[in-house]
Amino acid sequence: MIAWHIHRHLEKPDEVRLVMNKISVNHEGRAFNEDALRSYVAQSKWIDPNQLKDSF
Amino acid sequence: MILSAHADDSGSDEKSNPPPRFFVLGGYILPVEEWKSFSDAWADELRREPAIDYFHMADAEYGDGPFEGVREEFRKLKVNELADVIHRFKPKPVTSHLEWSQYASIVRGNVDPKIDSPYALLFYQIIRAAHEWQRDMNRISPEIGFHRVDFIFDNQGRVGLRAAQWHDELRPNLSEPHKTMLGSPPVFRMTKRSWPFKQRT
Repeated sequence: MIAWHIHRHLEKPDEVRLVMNKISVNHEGRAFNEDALRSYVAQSKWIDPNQLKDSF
Repeated sequence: MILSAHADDSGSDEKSNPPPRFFVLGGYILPVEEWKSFSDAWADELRREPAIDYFHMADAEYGDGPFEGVREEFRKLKVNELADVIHRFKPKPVTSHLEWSQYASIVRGNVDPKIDSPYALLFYQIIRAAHEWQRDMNRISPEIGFHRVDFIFDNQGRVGLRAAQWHDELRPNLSEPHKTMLGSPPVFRMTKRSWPFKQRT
């Protein structure tokens, strides 16, 4: 339930959803933002392709 | 004490109409023993009128699946009462999200295809959030200690297998207390009727 409601809140921040007060007490949310995505791409260059060859 | 986290996703299908702007992975953490009581309370609520076989939030919103033909006010009532169950048990909610357009412009095609997966990124953010939550709690009350967190996700097919494999490779490279907190390899359930958000009995 929490993923759907957080998603809805992000898509429609003005929409009032009363159950949020019940289902998101002490909610810890993390945004994987633009900087984090760029950092991921930069770090991925350090991965040895051989490490990935046996993965699915 | 072992903790267990049950998580699912929203906005994962970027080809849906209208396309989602965000992709969210989120779930709840509770001690394993408490999930049993939670599951019983959840099933009791599903049995109450309007009784449904299982709960999926999108179905409740749009009147699909077990909510087909159920009037909006009754669907809202059911959502509210299931939310009461969550509120009563107070599981720890953790979520992570990214914006599809950012993923497409920054990551897609710029990393090895085997790690080109927004799901995997969010998957690890959720695990990290669970670890950092425990670290924060221990800063306030060190007697709490660090506990293993086992994750149960909705089925994700091949990307789930991939994520499970990375999970295995992660453990030897972790330092404490993360090694203690990293649970068993994640489980990917095949059905939305999965425990503890199970069908009524």
